[in-house]
Amino acid sequence: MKKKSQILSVLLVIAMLATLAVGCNNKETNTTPTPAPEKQAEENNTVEESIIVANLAAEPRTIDPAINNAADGSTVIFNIFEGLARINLDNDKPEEGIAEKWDISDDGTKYTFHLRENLKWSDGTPLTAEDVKYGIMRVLDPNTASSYAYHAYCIKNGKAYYEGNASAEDVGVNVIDENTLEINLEYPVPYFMDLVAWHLLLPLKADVVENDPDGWSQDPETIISNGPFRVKEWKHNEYILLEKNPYYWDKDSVKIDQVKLVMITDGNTSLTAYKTDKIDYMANIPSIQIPNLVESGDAKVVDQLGTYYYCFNVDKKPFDDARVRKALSLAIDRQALVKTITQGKENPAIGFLPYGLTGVDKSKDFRTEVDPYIDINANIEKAKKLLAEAGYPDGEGFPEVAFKYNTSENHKAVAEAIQAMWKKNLGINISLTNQEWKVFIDTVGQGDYEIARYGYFSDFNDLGSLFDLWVTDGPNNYPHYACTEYDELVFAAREEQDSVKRAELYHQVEDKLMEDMPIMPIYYYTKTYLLKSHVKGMHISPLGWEFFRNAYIEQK
Amino acid sequence: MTRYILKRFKSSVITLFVVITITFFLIRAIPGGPFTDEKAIPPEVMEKVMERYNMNDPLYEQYFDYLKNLARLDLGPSYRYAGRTVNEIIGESFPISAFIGVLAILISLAIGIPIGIISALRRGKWQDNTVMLIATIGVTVPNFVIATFLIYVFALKLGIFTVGLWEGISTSILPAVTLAGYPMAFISRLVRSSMLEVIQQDYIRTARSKGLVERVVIYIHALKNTLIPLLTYLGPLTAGILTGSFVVEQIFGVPGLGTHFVTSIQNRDYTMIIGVTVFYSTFLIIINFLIDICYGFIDPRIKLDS
Repeated sequence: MKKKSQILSVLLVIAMLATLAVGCNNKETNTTPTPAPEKQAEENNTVEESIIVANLAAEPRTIDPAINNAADGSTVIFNIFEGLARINLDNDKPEEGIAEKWDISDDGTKYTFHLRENLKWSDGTPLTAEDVKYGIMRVLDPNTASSYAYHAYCIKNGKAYYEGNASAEDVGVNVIDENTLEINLEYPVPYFMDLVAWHLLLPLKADVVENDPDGWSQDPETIISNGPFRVKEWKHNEYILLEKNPYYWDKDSVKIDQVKLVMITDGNTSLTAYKTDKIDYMANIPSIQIPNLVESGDAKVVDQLGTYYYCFNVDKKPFDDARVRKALSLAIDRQALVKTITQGKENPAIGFLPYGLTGVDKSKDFRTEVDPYIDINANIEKAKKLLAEAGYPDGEGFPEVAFKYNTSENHKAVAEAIQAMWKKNLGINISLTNQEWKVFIDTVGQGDYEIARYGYFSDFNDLGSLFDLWVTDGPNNYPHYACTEYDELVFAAREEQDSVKRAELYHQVEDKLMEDMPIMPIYYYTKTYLLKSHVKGMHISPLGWEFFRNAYIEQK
Repeated sequence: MTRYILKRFKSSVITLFVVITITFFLIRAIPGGPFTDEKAIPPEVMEKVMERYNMNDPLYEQYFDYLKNLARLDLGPSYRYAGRTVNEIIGESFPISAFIGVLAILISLAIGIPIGIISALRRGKWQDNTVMLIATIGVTVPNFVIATFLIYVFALKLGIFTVGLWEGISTSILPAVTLAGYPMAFISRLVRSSMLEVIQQDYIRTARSKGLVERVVIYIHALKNTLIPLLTYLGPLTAGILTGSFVVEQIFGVPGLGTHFVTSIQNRDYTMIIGVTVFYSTFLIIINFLIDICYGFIDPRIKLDS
């Protein structure tokens, strides 16, 4: 008895030590080949089913186009549905989708779409203009409770119908015949084609949706779509498996058989799965790993149409004075921030709108065709001068103000650096407070802050969406900026049909915004991702969506 | 016995009722709601969205509606995942967590009990010291450290296990081992101290003086009583482990229930928060009840009725 248990305990200790030893014995384990990926590839070759495994990083809230309001859901929707127009993968502008051409009336309020012949749903049944109308009307139907319904207000009587002041027949969406759809607008919308190519106004198959208005988008059987792919399987919180849609009009350009969108939320786990060849693509790289992976060239970086900025609450002293806001903006070194803190190859902000949008001159970038509003390095002298003019020479008498951000290591690091710059360059003190995300949105939304961090992605590949934010009483106008001149300029630009004049107007809009500086742009967002070199043709849009329409696997 | 069960049932219902009520009002007191998002939407749109989920009704009305549905075992629609019900989400994720949990408990018992006994019998000797040192490490090292270590060795370096993608049994081993770490160490310490106490009791001395073989004394006579404190610990342990761990599920990419305990709060998914809370409470109450009944079998002196 004694002996037996002695042996047992010794064995146990050995077993435990052995696991330790394995962990320490790096060299040996490194040289052992991992046969898994090659084997997998071989198997794929024999069955000739090509598959790309991409990490979506989260279970989408929904893939119902009318309900979805998040980038993960949009990525799925873009790959399984297609609107009258679709997004061109080279320039991210709208191009012909299920409509092969369209006519626009001279005043820009009437669009006549001509659908392709013989369009089919992913179950093989015919798709007509009626289905497109149904999809659009469903967004505007108040019973659907679409959180993006307001994007369709531009359609004639759209808002009135949504608010119950007009009937469905009054809405300006008319089916002329099976392949012709006419949409009348309330006012000209220069970015209307972008809206049509977006993930909202998509055709839906009425009978499956009506059969189960809430549940149809959960079951692969009833997710009847019309895009490059269709849903084959959906295991919640695990993956969505897409397969090539044999009824897609442009099926010949779809080269991949399957796309598996997995949902690995944890960045480190995702990285392990990537390194062990379990997944081909991921964008949720842990922030601590980004600098190294970008440096080594493993991680790729793509500019996004989004700006990271600080809001000043212009209702509160001392931020009711534009000189103070501008002094604070001048006193920070954005170049140093992106080089040493964020380290994701971000561009320091030189104005509010990010790079990547078409300017007055069609061949130029809106951002670079005018002089920078902001120096990428600090301009301390000028900052001090402005602060002194505002009555705070060398920061004397400047109240200690609170800065709020939502809990995150990245925001904290940026905030601490800016705190130090303000202290050193202007002699002013700020205190930092962090709050949980939804608490933060709530407090900032109620105006209970002095300075707060925020960021915003453009909705469309268009100059307008980001400037719309600062219109008086806009839902996202957290600084409470209210300027009639700014509003008028934005309204004029919104409806300006001529793209040259429109871009010029938006330059004036930005002039005004940067002159008043209710928000202080810091840098433009980037998306860092890892993609296996054998996956080609995948498109990561500047608005954050992944497109697999033209993706393929390069044979070795 | 029937009287006892009835009494327990009554107190369980009251407990659950209190849990539901507190959770219901507490979560609504946190700033931000299920539809508070980065991109704020116009107020009239927000109102329609809230209406869809009956969130514009007075709070007490929402509360009674919720109770009514709950009486039919309907935990309501998830506010986060449009078109899915809380029942569905729990139904899909719980079996996965429970499977890993059962594995973890089996591992922790299979290793924890024997090493506890060994160290008790070799009290003060090197076997005891070694085992207890390891047990102390097991109790103090947090599970995300164990998890990271296991992933590094078995997934990244040796490539034996897949991490991140859920592939059933093979992917549940590492999370189960991770989950087993703490309870295993705890159980071994519990068994050790309990065993030490038991073997000093008179009846053991009697058994030994009768000339019984040591093995029989320990495994037949002492062990049964040793396990009573373990049983008490097993109740909350089972409920806790079977309903999943947020950290472990996140790290290993397990689509289990544990994740929802935390994400539902981040999402302010009110129905989901109450749903998982009610589920967990009910589960805990049932397990504790079963454990109480087990006492009676192990130690006849414990009477449930009194």
